[in-house]
Amino acid sequence: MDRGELQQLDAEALRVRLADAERNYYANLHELQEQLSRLNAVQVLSKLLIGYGDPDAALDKLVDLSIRDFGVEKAVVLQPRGDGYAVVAIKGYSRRRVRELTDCVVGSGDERIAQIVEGGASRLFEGIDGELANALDLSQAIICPLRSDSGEFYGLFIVGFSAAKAVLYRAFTNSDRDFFDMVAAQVSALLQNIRLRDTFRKFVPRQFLDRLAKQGLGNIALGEADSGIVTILFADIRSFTALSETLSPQELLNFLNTYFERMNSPIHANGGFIDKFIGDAIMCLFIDEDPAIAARNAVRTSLDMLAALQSYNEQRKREGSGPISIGLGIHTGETVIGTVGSADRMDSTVLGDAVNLASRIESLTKQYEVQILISSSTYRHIASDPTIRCREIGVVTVRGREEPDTIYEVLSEAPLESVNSGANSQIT
Amino acid sequence: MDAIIAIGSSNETDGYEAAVAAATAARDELDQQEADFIFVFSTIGYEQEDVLEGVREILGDRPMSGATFEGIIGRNIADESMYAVQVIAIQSETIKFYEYCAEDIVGDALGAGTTIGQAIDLVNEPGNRVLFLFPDFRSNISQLFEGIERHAKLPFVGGVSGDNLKFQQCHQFHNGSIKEGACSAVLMVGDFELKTIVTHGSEPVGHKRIVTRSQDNIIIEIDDRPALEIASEEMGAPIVADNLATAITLMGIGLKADEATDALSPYVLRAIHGIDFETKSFTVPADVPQGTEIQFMRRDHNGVLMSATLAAKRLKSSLDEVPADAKLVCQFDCAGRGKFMIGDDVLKGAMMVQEIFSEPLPWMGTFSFGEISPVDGKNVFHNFTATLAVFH
Repeated sequence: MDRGELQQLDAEALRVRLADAERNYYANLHELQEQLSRLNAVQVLSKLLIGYGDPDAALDKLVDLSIRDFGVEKAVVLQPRGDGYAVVAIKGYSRRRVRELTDCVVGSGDERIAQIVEGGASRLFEGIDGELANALDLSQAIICPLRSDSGEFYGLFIVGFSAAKAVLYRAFTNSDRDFFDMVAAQVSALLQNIRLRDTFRKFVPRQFLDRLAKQGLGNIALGEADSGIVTILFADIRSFTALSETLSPQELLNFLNTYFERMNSPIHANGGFIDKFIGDAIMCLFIDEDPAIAARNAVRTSLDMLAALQSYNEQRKREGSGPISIGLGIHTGETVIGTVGSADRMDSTVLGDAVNLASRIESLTKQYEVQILISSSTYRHIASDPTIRCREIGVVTVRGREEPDTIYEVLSEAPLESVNSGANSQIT
Repeated sequence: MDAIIAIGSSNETDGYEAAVAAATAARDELDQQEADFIFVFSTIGYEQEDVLEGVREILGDRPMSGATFEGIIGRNIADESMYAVQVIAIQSETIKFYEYCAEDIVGDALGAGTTIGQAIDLVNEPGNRVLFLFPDFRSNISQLFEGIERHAKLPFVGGVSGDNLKFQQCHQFHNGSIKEGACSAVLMVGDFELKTIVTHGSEPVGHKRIVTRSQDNIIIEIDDRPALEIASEEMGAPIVADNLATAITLMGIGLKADEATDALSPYVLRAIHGIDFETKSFTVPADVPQGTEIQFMRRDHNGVLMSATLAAKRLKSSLDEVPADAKLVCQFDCAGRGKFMIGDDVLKGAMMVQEIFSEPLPWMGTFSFGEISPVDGKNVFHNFTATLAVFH
């Protein structure tokens, strides 16, 4: 072989290697693009899901991302209903089919599904048939359980292709199964968090969490505190001791729960939240960046609570029970919102003189034979509101305070002549 | 050109919602007038019935044409996802539209072309003419052209309908119905002028070869050897099912043209649209007679971007010929020039062209499986190209 032939051979070999490298480059590029796209989508999913408080919205986002970025034709989430599974989130189907499938129950008696539900891992079905496959129009599918770390089952996340469109998609591999298993685990964690939070909120008001759990529910520490102007409303049932003596313990509990339920609606409707039930008393709080809004909401709540009470009394009358009456006291002032207790048993609360003053003002309603009393600081915030009518009751010095304060009655109807009863009186 | 061109697009994953969003955006630009004609370009992920239902719900039961493509191109948009839809609503007192649909173009492209050509021949409306064509990718386009041109001489523009580079399914739209294996066509007649530009970014590899055995658009032997063997040699590795998409995207066939279709190249490009591994032959979307001189063509990321830049420069240099009142740009680009080849630079490539227009013009277009655009007065079917049709 002469030098020229050698050079030609080398050039040819290099050309083949170069072409081979280029071919591999583009083949790998395509595969890496798909992987990158999926990775980006998972990151997007993670960020999005953090912001989702509504599980339905989160599941809708999951199926939407699945068909948009995860390279599947169809994505569905099923949740247990009856002896089967209801379609609760769905993408990749015609409008007509979505209407037919939404809330439709499928998968009853399907052994493959049952195995996954009963603790099985995610599975790849290279060819799937049966009632579930027919209903969801799937010829190939990956089915992943949505399950918490502790084994609580939330539902099934299914992705796949129809026979008609399978040619447009790459066939699933075990790598795809592992990927969707990871996605399902992320979504399961989210659903677990939402459930925990919802449970938590039954005991701790959301507004507390917003102020104390800025770094997430898992990071609330003992001694966390935040201060601010809060309007506090106390509501107390008059003659509760006498009433309770006429009821059995169960009747008493039923009565209180019915009463609390009735009072809860106007509080929530006006943006407040119940901080504590203290026997028959309700202590609720109104927090807003603008203290005037919080004060106005509290006063409107007091009027709405009286309206709710009237409705409740009408029901009691029909049932042969006597009416009940309540007193309401409202004050706006500086408080500290924080967590107290021990590492094992923590509670949230508001602290400060303002809380005591609100309670004292409520107790004055009996003395002045009125239903709603507010402090001067609350009154200042609502004085310019023409929809709220008040009259001055007098200047009082409540127990434990040195400075006297003017208190006002909130009227639900047209304003009466201003009265001044008990001016400068000392209340003990 | 006196017309309101209203364009909307959406990438919602639900076909109906996407179409409603796109059509609503278009309707809002129509200034409360009814559209004379609607183009709908969609990608393959949708249930296409839902797409057309959404469009018609917003824009009404108006004449309509369109197809599915690998992607859509609009102003600041180059979307090759499975879920993209573009709706173009046009209203004009001086332009008329005649829509046609030739079925079974896959089985008889010449007959389909003849059907369209004969229908066009019956139109007496005065004014300039252009024919938009959206044929199924399995068609023999040269036969389609021949059929039309037997009866009607006019410029053709358009793109070949396709899918997500799987070469499996595509649909054509005609007045609310969804076709497969058809050619949707629209004759536009009236007071307008048209300027077109074509460019590609491929380079010849290897040496010149001769097609020694072919049947219509099926190349069976090259240089007396199985065509697939030669293609694999030029590719540098065997072409098999697993790397078919890559091979098709990277490599095509250059047919020596009588007249250059691109300032840089004397070749008309043909993409490989299908391979028969049993007979070791492959199919291109137009006839390749025995004895045709060919050369395999390769392209890469830089070549594609360079050709986009070139298209922009050429367009700019010819702007003197395009009056300032340009009303619409149609851009039909090869699907292989898109994200598969240049990844995230796909929008950059599209924007290179769009940015040369000082005013933001209505911009419609697709990533297609073949581009249709005249060159020097002759209708040419292209592959691997970027084509622009500027209406003014």
